Amino acid sequence: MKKQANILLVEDNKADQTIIERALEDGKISCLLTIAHNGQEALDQIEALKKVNDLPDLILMDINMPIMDGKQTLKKIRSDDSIKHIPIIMLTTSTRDKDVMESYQLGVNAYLSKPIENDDFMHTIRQIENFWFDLVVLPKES
Amino acid sequence: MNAFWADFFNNDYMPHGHCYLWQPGILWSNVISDLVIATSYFSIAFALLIYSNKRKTQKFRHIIILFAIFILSCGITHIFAIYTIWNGSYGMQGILKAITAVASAMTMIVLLLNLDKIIAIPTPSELKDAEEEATRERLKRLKLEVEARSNSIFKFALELFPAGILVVDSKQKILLANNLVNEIFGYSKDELVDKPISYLVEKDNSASHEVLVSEYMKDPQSKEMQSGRLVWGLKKDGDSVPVDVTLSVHHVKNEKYTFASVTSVTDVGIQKKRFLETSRRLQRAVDATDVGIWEWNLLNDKVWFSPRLISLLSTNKEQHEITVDDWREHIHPDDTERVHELLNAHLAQKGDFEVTYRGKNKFGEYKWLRSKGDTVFDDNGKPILMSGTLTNIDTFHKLQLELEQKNAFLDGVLSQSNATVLIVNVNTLTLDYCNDRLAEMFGYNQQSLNSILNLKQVFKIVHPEDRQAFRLFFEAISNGTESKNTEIEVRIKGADIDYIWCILHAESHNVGEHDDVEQVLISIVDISDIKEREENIKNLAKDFLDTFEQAAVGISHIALDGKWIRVNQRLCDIIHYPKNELLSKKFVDICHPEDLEQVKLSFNSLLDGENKTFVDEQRFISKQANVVWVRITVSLVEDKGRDKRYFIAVVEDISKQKQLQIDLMRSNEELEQFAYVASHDLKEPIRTLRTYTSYLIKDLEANKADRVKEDKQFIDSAAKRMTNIIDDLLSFSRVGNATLKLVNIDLNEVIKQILHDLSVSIEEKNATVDCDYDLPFVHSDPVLLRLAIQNLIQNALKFIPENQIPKITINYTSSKTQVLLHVTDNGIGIDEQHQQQIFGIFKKLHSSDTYPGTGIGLAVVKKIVDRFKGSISLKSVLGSGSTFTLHLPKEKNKKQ
Repeated sequence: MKKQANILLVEDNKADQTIIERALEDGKISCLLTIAHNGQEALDQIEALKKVNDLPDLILMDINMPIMDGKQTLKKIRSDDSIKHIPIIMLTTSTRDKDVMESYQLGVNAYLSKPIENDDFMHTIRQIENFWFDLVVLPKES
Repeated sequence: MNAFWADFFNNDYMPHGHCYLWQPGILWSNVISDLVIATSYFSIAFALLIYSNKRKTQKFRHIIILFAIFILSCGITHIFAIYTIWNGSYGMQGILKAITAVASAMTMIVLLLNLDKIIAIPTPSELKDAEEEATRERLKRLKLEVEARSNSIFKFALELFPAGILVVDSKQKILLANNLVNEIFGYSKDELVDKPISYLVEKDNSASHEVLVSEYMKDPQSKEMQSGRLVWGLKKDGDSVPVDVTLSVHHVKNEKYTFASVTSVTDVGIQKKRFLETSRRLQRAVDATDVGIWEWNLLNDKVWFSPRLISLLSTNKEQHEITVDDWREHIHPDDTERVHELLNAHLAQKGDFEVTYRGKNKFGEYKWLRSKGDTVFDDNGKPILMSGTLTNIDTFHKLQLELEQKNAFLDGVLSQSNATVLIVNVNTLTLDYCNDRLAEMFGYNQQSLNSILNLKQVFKIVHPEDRQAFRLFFEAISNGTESKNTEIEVRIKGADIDYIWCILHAESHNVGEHDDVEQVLISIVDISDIKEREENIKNLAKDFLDTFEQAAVGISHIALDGKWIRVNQRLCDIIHYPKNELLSKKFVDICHPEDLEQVKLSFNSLLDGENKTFVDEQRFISKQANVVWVRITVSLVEDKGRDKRYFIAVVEDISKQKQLQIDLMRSNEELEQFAYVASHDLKEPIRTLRTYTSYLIKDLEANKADRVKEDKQFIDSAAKRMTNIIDDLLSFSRVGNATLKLVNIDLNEVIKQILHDLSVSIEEKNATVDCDYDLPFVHSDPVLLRLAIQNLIQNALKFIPENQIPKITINYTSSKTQVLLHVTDNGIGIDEQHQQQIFGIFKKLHSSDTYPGTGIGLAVVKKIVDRFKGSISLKSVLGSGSTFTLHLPKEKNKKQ
């Protein structure tokens, strides 16, 4: 990685937060992990980061959250031109087809169901990393 | 004396042969001649005896016998002369000659005495003449008898004649006068016969009258004397009498006879009238009947034909010239043989003579004629005189032939007919005619039907229900008062079969003088098939109406323009419209506006022929403006008979189904949500447990002490959450299943107990709870109510911003039926958009890290109040607290 990535984790459950922290740690992913406890908190943080021009490079997001759930948050991100390019990985307990389909339709880049296997998680992270950070030259915000 | 007789019979005298000197020539010529004579004389005597015996009736028998005796004795004397040639017994010869002399003398005397009588015996030719004369006499007598017989009839007829009748011959002699003439002129019976007619005419007029009569007889066409001539008649006593004379001339056997009818003018008014009437009647009768009269003398083959008869023949000959051949010739060639056969048979067998044949008239036309005749036969059965009539029956015969043809045709038609045809005489109530169908249809024949065909019986074969109608029908046709043909449908019983539905058509067939119906023509057609079909159709129609009206679904007919044509009660019930009001509307008038587009599409698909039937679920608007969900099945029906098309719509009320469907959908959604949330919330602690126990093992192996501690904390909290969830679910389940015990509960007591139970938590949070304890009683289950209120107070204590002291207020208001218990807090409040969600199970607005909980609490409260027909409502502003209100039933009056 060329630089240390900013990863935003949107998750209300402490235990799940810890799982992701440990997975990243064990996977030797050098990153700056920020945590939001629900969608609303995530949007607020992104708005703040936008101002300092330090948007997250990757968002990891749970679906089932109080206040604002993952899907609503996803919708809002994908409808905001300034942030819609940010890759998002859904992490959720739900294996319902409906949730999977909806998530992809709303524009997630990957969908992983809990409990998260470290290997799967790392593989996905690397895929995203290769694609977004190595191969694609993202157009910077005009 | 003895010496004398001895000498006398002495044979010793010299034989006679001596006289011949025994000269053989002389002797044998005498002997043979005597022998021949004797033989002849014996033969003659013998012949005379035979003759006399055979003709015993003969008058002169004794003379013949005398002759025989005389010849026989002559013969004997000759024989004895031969004897005396050889024996000289001349005494004996003398005796024999004496006997012969006596016989000859007697014969001579008797003969002389009877000579004149013998002379009178006729010769054979004279006898023949006499016989012929006798036959002629006999015939004459027979003929006279016949004539006398016809004369007596004629005379009898004359006496009956209402006028005086005189028959006068050409010499003006009266041949016949009837009683009336005798009365008029004062003569007794037969006194006038053979008198000249002038006897009856006044002397002053007699000359002129004679002239007139003779003129008339010469030329009967002269009208002078023919009719209504008034003359003065002369009575026997010398008085004059005015008489009206009418003459007519007839030729009988070449003699001219004048027939005069004489009427006394003294009663001429009456008589003339009577006479005119009679003559007219006769004239009419004669004109009308065409009866010709004939007489045929079979002995001389002469005929007498009346003028009328002659007019029927083809000949133009005068009356006296006509022969029987003229009649023979006018017979049609095809009929000739038959007529002659009948005639010959009649003459041979003496039966009646009657023949119908075609005869040619003067115009060369053949007419149908009928001749009847009778014949007088003599003792030997020989026909002598035949007489009779000849009648023109042409019109009658042709009509009869035509009638026969028509009858045969009619009979043919009737027997082929499918209908039973009867002709009933209504006066006698008998069957005059019936065709074969009667037997085929009912098994009756003419006889058996006749036996039941009287008023008492005939009703027995009519079905009891139809008898009254049949009686009226029968009376109507018998009286003829009703129209002359009538119809009735009745059930009639057959001989061996059950009742058959028939249509009876009656027509008066024959009308008597007083317009009384005599015969009625009745035709009977078996209509049981039709009746059955009719009955079926009626039943179908009734079934249809019943089905239509009593169907559990709404049924309607809708015209192409959308108007309701017919609706059943059920449809009216579904949409709460009175029938009349509904019928004044169109289909679209009661459709929900949002469904109109679909309705139009669906109906058009039928009209286009795209669909035969469509089924839609749509909404109607009831009269009370409520939405009624219906399933409507519509077809387009073509009534080809009436060239009409209309829709049949079957309407089912599916409001309840629809409501259930909506409920089910919501229930399914809820269930799905529940399953989702439940699986998520239940799996979460387990997943955490599994993950961290696996971490724990790894961390223990790697000897990472800080991580092991963290792992244990996560494992503990997950296990605790799991326990909480299971406890809460159990409680939720219990709330649903627990048996309700509804009693009146003092809310004050309930609150006190709850606050007591929660005193530890309250103290921990340093919270204040305000309650006035003036709360009312409610009707509820004490355990469940307590659980509900306790949950609300716990929530008020839990959802409180950090470092804020909870402040809880409990109070109430009341409506007409309910007590409203308000629990108000100063907590974090709930955003309006989430207020509806929070009563859902597992529904949490915060992460369990922020406000721990299972998301089951409010769901339990909701479920409790639902169970005792209460409800829960919420007023809240995010960040400034909430008020949960329980709507509880008021306490029940114990007296009630």
